[in-house]
Amino acid sequence: MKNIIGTKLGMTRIFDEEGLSIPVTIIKIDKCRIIGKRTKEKDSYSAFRVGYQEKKEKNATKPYQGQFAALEGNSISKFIIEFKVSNAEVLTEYEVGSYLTVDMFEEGDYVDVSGISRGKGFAGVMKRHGFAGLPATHGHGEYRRAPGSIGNASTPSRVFKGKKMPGRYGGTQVTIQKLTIVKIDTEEQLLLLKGSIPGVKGSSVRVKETVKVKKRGRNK
Amino acid sequence: MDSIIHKIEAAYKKDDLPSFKAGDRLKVHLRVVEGKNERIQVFEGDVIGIRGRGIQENFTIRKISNGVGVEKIIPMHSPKIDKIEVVRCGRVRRAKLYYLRELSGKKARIKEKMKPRKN
Repeated sequence: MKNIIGTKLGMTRIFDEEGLSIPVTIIKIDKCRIIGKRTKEKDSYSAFRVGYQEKKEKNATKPYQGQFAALEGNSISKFIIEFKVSNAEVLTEYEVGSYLTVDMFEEGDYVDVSGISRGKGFAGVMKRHGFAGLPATHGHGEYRRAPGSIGNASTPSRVFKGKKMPGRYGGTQVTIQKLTIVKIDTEEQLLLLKGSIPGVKGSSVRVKETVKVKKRGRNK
Repeated sequence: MDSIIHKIEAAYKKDDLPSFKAGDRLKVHLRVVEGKNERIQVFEGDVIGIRGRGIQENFTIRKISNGVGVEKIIPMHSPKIDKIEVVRCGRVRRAKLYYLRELSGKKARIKEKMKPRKN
């Protein structure tokens, strides 16, 4: 199972051996711990329950604390999510209480990264849906970023459901597929990925093996 | 958070770069790969601007080659730079010398600083 949670630290650039500049996003893995398992027999599906980061005991409710009671050290994760696995055999790969580390990846691997994108607030159709807008001249006055017509007249006499209109944009889960791992720092638990990922600095992101073509070309 | 980024950048930063400003004439020794061979190509020209901070820093260098203006934007910390020599210091009054693009001949000269800066 190549699946981990990390924190987006920000972007910078590094140079490869040919002297080319590579834009990289830095992800830090901060106490990503297996806190339990879901099994086919008991829960009708197989998954790891994974806690990320830590918070103080006084900041957690009693029922939430109880989820960590069986674990060594009794440290409480900030949040819990589940990593679904395809077959039960994978569940034996990790013990309950063990930490997930960047060692599961190799440099040159392709990964998919999911995170919550930056919220853009109430956005117009040009930003939200990529509409072209209206002409700058020919009498358009101050009417330039509008959607234009949103449908026909007497037939159908209504606007179709799902019509692209202005509204809240951003702040939803976005997945970027097939990013290359440029570098791995096992000491600091860092992943350096080529390109950008969704979310603000400090937000939690999920990194997993790509569902697209796996490991081809680079380094392999 | 930023300290980790600084640490990563530090590994790629050079600390032996000479200090120079817009208006200075430089000789930049660049590594050029031709087929399998690598050789050094020297680009001599005037710095017309420096932008960016830290590892993102880059400078624009301009020269007139066979009557045609040629500019290169070079990342300051690029491993392709073998060496930078400061040939002379220019006396200019602004940080970006984009006005030189409009000028040619004697007007496009940069006066030399009589008291060169100490590096």
